[in-house]
Amino acid sequence: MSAENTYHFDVIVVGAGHAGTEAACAAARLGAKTVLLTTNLDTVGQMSCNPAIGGVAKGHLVREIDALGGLMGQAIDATGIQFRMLNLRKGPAMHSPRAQADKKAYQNWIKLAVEDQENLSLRQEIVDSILTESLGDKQRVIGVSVLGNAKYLASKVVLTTGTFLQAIMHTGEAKTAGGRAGEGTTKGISGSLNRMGFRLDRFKTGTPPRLNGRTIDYDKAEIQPGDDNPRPFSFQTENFQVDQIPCWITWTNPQVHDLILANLERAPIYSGEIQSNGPRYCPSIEDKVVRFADKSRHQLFLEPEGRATQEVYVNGISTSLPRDVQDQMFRLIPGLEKAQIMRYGYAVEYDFCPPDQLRNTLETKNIQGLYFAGQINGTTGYEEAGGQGLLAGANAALALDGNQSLVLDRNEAYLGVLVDDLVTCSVDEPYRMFTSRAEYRLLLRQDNADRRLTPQAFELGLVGLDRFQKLEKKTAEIERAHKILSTNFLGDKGSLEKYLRRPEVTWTDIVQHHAELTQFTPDVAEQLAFDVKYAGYVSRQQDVIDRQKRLAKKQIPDDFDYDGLTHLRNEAREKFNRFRPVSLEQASRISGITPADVALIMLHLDGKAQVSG
Amino acid sequence: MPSFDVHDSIAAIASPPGPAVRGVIRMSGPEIRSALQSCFCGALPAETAKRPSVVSGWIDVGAPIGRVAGDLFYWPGTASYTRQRSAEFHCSGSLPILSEVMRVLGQYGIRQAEPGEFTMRAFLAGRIDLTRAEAVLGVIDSQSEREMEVALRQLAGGLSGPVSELQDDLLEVLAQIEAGLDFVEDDIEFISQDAILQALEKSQNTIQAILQQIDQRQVSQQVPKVVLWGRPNAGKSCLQNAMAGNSNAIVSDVAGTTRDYLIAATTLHGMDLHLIDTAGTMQRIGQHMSPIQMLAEDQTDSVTAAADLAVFCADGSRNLDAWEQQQIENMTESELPALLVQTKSDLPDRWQHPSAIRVSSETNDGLADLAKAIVDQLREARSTASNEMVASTAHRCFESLEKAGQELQLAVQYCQSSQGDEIVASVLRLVLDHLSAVTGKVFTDDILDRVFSRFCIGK
Repeated sequence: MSAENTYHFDVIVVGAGHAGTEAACAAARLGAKTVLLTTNLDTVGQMSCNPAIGGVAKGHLVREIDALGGLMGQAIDATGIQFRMLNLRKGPAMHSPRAQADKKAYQNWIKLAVEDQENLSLRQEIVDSILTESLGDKQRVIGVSVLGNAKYLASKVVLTTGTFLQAIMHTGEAKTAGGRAGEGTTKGISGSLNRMGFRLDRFKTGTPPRLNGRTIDYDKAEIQPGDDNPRPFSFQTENFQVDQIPCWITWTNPQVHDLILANLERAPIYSGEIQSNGPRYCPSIEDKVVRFADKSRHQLFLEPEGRATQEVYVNGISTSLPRDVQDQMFRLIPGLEKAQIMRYGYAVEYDFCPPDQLRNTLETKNIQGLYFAGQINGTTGYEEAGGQGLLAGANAALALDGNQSLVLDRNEAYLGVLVDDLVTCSVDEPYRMFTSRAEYRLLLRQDNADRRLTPQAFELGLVGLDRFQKLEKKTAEIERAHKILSTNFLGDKGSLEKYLRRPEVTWTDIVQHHAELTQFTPDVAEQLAFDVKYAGYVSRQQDVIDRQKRLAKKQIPDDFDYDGLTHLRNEAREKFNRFRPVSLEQASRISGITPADVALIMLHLDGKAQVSG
Repeated sequence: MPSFDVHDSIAAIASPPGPAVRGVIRMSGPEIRSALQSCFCGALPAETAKRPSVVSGWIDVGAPIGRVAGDLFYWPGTASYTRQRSAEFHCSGSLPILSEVMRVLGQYGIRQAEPGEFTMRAFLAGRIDLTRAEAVLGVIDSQSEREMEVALRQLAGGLSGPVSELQDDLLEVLAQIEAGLDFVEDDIEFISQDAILQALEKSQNTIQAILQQIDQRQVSQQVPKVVLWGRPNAGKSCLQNAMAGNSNAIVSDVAGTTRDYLIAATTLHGMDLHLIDTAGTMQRIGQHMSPIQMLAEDQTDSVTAAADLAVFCADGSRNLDAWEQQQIENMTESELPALLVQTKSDLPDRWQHPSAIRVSSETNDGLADLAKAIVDQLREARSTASNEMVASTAHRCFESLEKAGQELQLAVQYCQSSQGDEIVASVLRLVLDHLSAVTGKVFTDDILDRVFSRFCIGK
């Protein structure tokens, strides 16, 4: 291979979806000379499935990505067409932003942000293998080779290949190779992963049909408007204004269900054609009809895909039934009787690498310098992908100098929960974030993501001084207001703070009792009010968190020999060898592990420390 | 979550339960001196003493028990097993008393030790070598499972049923609350506020009932109980009379129970025990359920629920019927140790079984063998369960249930004052955490599994 076909970088990111773009930008922001390789420059940041960002727990992830300097929040603020804050009737920790995106505008915004990013090159290339070299008895990555006689060399490679590994799409009896409608699959990388000794497994996911909005009778559907006072995702967005487009709701009915049941054996999942696991929380319509036979109707959301298109995404009716059944189904649904399908729904099966093969930096355990992020790790969702991308890209860049990493705790961020779950649990279905996965949910509000994460992002270099100073100013205001609350009293009701803790008392009530508080901005007031409401409950969790922190300090070395612990139970030995926990704290959270198992490891850790010390 | 922080001060009950045996509470850690100064009435040995010393005194645990008198052994520092300040308080072996002392120590910052924690400290102090420490920790899991069973039986008998039902109920409510929090966009009403409150109140009542039952049982639980069961005409009553002897047997109807139990107190090979005849029970059980099952399920009956040994009696002069055959087959899998007795051995045998003990209440043949077998079984059951740990496990179990009850009360309050489902959920998780010491740990996936199997979540 001639010298002019070799390119040198610090970090290579393969795949330019939601994980890849965040990874590349994070690495570049940290000063690493980065290249982002995609098979198609026209699909950078594409929304392959629903044209929406956020939702319960997912909205939290976007706010965290934004607090760490990522793209997603600003992209959706710039290109969203409908914004809603979900769960407002629940407590503040449950509030969660969601927005419909103008799909094309969103992906163009992301592409431009990538192009504008200093230190980052965006290239159209087809990667056909991952290059490694031996390092003692271990392997490390040195780059990738691409079709057309060229290679890219770097000591860090981030793989974000989405659903493109050995992908097969199913629509009824028809099968096509490819990870997204109209696109191919990536064979070479699966081969490389196999050669490097990674375990691969298979998942499936599905997508619904898209309709032509001109042919929908919206009079028969229920309108779902955006919020009157839409709120932005990004902590940087100011003076947020948006011209909103509504979504619409309609329902399936028993006739539709009968039609589906009559054609069930033609669906690849029921004909046995597809055997891999799909997500239980986002079942196909055929699954819904079979598993919840007592439900006489299922809700369908008609979501416009943008301002400059008639295409409408039908959320809730993901299917891999044959084309003719999909056509007939809509004939039976109110408002959609005459609707024309523009794209048929399909199911896709793809390879992923079970994420127990990763460290909590998202670096793979067996190939030094190789990182995985997004659907390759068995996750689903743009937000989950984007978050992992940001962490993997940042960690790849931080590892160049070797002494820092970005690992978030479960009590710091949903992103911490996400990565920790991936590396300590077996992922049996595509992993999606839920707030119930976060045991410290009350701490992890979407509104305080900046206070939780931006200081750390600034310290590492992921966000600039301006953002940090803006946050410091806000924090100081919150503290000042807090002091007023705690030092002013309201007769026999105790301090203003105590009074505000009552569920029925709002900030507005408090301000009426104490006019001095009117000086604070709504943002500061809201933060403080939420803090105060939860303070009592949060402090009850603090004991557990402190205990965990002490255990987390007890690190387990990479090469710890579990086979040498003769008294360890077999089940524990298998689990430890598989997950290789980094600390006693992580070890104690693996399912099936008992305190005594942890104690046995501790015995050896401390034994070694004694011998060496 | 284990916490093997060596700087904490810890305590554990380190003695077998039973009125005849002294109770021992072992303590280790920097804070124990200040704790003992606060709660132990007696002259605490000087800190400068080189050797362990013993003093008499008492610890006041408050009403109704009041002062618990005992001897305090105190090791100032490096001389102890853990090379930390250590102490042992020797007092009455009754579990409620020991539990109260533990509670008082807890108030002064001394927490319940994890299983194996003293061993861990001894190892870290260089008192025992790695091999020995490993051996101790290595058997903890298999032991504690057995111990938890025994402890549950000792505490209230058949308790594991109601407790796991409680856990199940709470998981169900939690799953529904969580679903309502996470899946707001689906058009499903998961659970109403009223239904949450109702479910929580029900669970609270259950846990209160369990705790009360434990309390009541503490007093009467010390004597091993042997239950005689079998067909009404299998010769149980005659056997009971023959074994207990006619002279000083106290045979009486037990007031306040729903069944007619006959309890005979007797002494076999130096061991005090109660022989319980389930006479009158059988007629009502019918063919469907074995008394063992019934005993396990009927947790409200404090008399029989905590049986230590079952003796199944079948008439040797008649053919075994289907029910009897079933019972005999089931005996090996029974949680409760069980013996098979072939009665009326003076008459011609109509059946044989390799493990049957043949007795005749007429001729007293085989009674000595049976007495020995009963005593052996009881001794074995108590020793294999590693009694030293059982008291400690029983205490931990009780403590967990008590804490779970307190948190649950809080959850009910929060629910009543509409504090928000996310807050109720966080407290319910604490309840389940406490229960997990008895029932096993709950993982998020357990909650999600329930949500997805029950609701059509689909956006």
